[in-house]
Amino acid sequence: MAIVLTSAYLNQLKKGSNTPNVIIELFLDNETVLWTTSALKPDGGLNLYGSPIISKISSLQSKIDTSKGFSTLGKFSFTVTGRDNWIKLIKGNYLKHRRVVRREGFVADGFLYSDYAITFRGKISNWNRKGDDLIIEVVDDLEEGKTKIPTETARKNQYIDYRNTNPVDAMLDILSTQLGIDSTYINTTAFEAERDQWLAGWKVNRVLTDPKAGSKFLSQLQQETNSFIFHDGQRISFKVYAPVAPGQTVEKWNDNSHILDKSLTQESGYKDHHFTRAIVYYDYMEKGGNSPENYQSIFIFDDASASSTGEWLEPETKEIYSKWIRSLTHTQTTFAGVNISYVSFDNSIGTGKLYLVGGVNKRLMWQGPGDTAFGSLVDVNKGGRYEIFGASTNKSIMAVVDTSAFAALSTSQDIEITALQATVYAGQLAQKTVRRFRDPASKITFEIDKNAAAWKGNYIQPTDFKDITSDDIFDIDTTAWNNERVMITSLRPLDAKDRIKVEALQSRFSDLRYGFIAPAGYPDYTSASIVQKEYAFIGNSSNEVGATPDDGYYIW
Amino acid sequence: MAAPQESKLKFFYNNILTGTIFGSSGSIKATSTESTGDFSVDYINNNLESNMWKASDTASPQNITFELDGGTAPKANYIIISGHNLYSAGATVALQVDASTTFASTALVTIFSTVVADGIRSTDSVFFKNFNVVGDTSAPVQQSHWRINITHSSTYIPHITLAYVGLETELAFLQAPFDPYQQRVKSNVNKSLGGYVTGVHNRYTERKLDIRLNNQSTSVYAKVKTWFEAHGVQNFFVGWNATGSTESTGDIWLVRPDLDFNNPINMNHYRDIKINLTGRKE
Repeated sequence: MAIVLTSAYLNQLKKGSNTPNVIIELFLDNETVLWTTSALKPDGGLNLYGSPIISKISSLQSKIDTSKGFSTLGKFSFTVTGRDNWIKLIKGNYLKHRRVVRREGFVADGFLYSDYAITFRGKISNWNRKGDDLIIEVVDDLEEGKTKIPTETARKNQYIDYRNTNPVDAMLDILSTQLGIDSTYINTTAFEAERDQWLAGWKVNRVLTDPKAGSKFLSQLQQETNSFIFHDGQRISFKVYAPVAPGQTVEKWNDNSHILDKSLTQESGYKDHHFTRAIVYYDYMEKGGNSPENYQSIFIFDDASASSTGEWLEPETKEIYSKWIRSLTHTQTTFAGVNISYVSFDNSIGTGKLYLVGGVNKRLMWQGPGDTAFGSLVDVNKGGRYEIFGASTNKSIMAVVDTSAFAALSTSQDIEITALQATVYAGQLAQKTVRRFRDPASKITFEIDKNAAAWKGNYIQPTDFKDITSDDIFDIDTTAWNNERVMITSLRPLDAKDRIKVEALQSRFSDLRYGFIAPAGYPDYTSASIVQKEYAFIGNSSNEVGATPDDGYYIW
Repeated sequence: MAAPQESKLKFFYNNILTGTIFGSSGSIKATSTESTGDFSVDYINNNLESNMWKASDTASPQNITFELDGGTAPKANYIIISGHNLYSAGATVALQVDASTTFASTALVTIFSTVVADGIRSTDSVFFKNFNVVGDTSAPVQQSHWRINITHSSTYIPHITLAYVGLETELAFLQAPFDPYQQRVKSNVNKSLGGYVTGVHNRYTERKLDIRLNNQSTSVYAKVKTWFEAHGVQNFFVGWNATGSTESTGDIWLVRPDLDFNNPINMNHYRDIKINLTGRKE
């Protein structure tokens, strides 16, 4: 959920003239310092006061990258002017990591401190001084994403187990448990709601053994589930790329009321947002980089008509190297000190056997499903990570071993290998990529007045959809956009000009109606209301509905 | 025929609350000061709007006192309080003088006691008052100990950004075309592609007073020279139509001068005084 705005705030946005104000709250160990761009007016009570010594606030940007699947760190800096005002702040205060809250509001009678919207929560990462000014940099909690996980051990036998796990649950675990981000700063409700609506049946399978920045794993998961983790200003939030659900309204923006003069740019999308063919490599072999030989499965989806003579002439291929989509999952051994981190695709479904030799010379053996003998013994005395081959050498597993926990015995255990719906997930990923980008998706940038920053009582945020009508934006289908649905990918407040710079990507959700299962009792299409028509209706053999007929509904 | 505009500008920079003035030295204190944060009573005389004194609680009255430590007892005939919440707090401001720090001796005199919400103002705008010795129309008050006594509603914690108590400086009548209400709005006005205004966002309004006093005698020049050399380029208050006991809310402004001071002697052997002042409109 985006930042919620009070009615007093919304009223100010409606005014033809208003006086914006920004408050910076700095939480030190012994006090809270308040700075503002304008002095706070008394609010009729035991009001707080902010010292109006901020001379500049650099625009903070919240951006998502639709192709690489990561969001930029929210960051901003502000300048406090007057040496005497800040010198006592530096001396005697541990500023680094101290929390900062940015509030936005207006100087107006009756506008209370509580009406100021919290638009950013973060912590101090740096300061520098230039003449009489102190410039303080603040970053959001996704900064923690740089921490490497799993934490490396002396024997390199670290691991985090995400077998047969919903990808959104994996993301939440990485954010909260592994990276240690306080739950206050994670919008868990948004994660769970999106998971339940769009990714309820998804299962990924991976055991992390190689320490990498947490943000890298999050980036992979986002890309492979067509979703976005972003900072909404107050908390880390989540959105799956999907059509707008019935009942949700989309704001309409146009040339007269929203897009500011001399601010509009448009890119064709030819370079970065055009794919007629998608290849998803999956069943990663947990070694090597993004190269086909390191993957055991592949799904190809090709929209041949898009690359035909009458259309774009040549195929444009998107390659997705999935690290998390797997065809198989496995039960975990209960042998102390052993964790199976990977089973190869060639093991197939069935029951394998893990054999452990305890005592002085510690070893492991593997027998793949369908094999009648074990493979070679692998000496694991030193602990760490090992690849263990079955009698059929293409049937292998990888295990993380901590020999200090080994029991002094020799025994075997059944390991059940079962199927996951990898083909479905890979197929959905490939099809949705091509469906969206088979015609180039334009990227547009423009500026809006900050009065347009709210919709339905909430601050706008990346991943919001807007329907754009403009005589100045074109594509292959039209000389002027009419309610063309775009997704906001970046917001950059330009405080000095009281504007917001918006970057958005054509969504292609205007081209087709995507169906949702309606509640029982709805009438037929010809009698249905506009609201009811947001759900799906079954079309004729040409997927048309109604008397006109209209184009029918599609499955997302 | 309509009456012409006539007024002399007044400079209000002389402030006994700074602690050093007219060969006297003293100190200021407040009944209480908020301890969380930086709200020292010293901020009321530093000529900056970016900090303030704030009481520690809602107790009433709150007093700000000046006590003479050495030298001659200072004189004053005006008081200005700005950046306050005294109107909202329903406050009564009294200015008192005494020969001792107790403010309870037989020498205690209440020069005035005024309800800030006096029917003239409707906001926490600048509070200004001229005064003289009680019963006298011209003699400024001279005493060793001064007190600003604030009684107010029990739900408010009073604060004051700037407080001046001192002797006013009156200049001569202006000659060159001059609009004392000249101002420039610092604002962002955004227009859409279709040419419609989508928002007007105000930052602040800047006041501009360009003062021209031509062919002035040495006495007028001496006043401005004394002002600049004593006060420099700091903020100070200027008054337009600021006479008597008026509590006019619109004619006392906080301004600062340009960095140059240049008032040449002209060919008539008089001074052409030129002072450019800029201020932030309250």
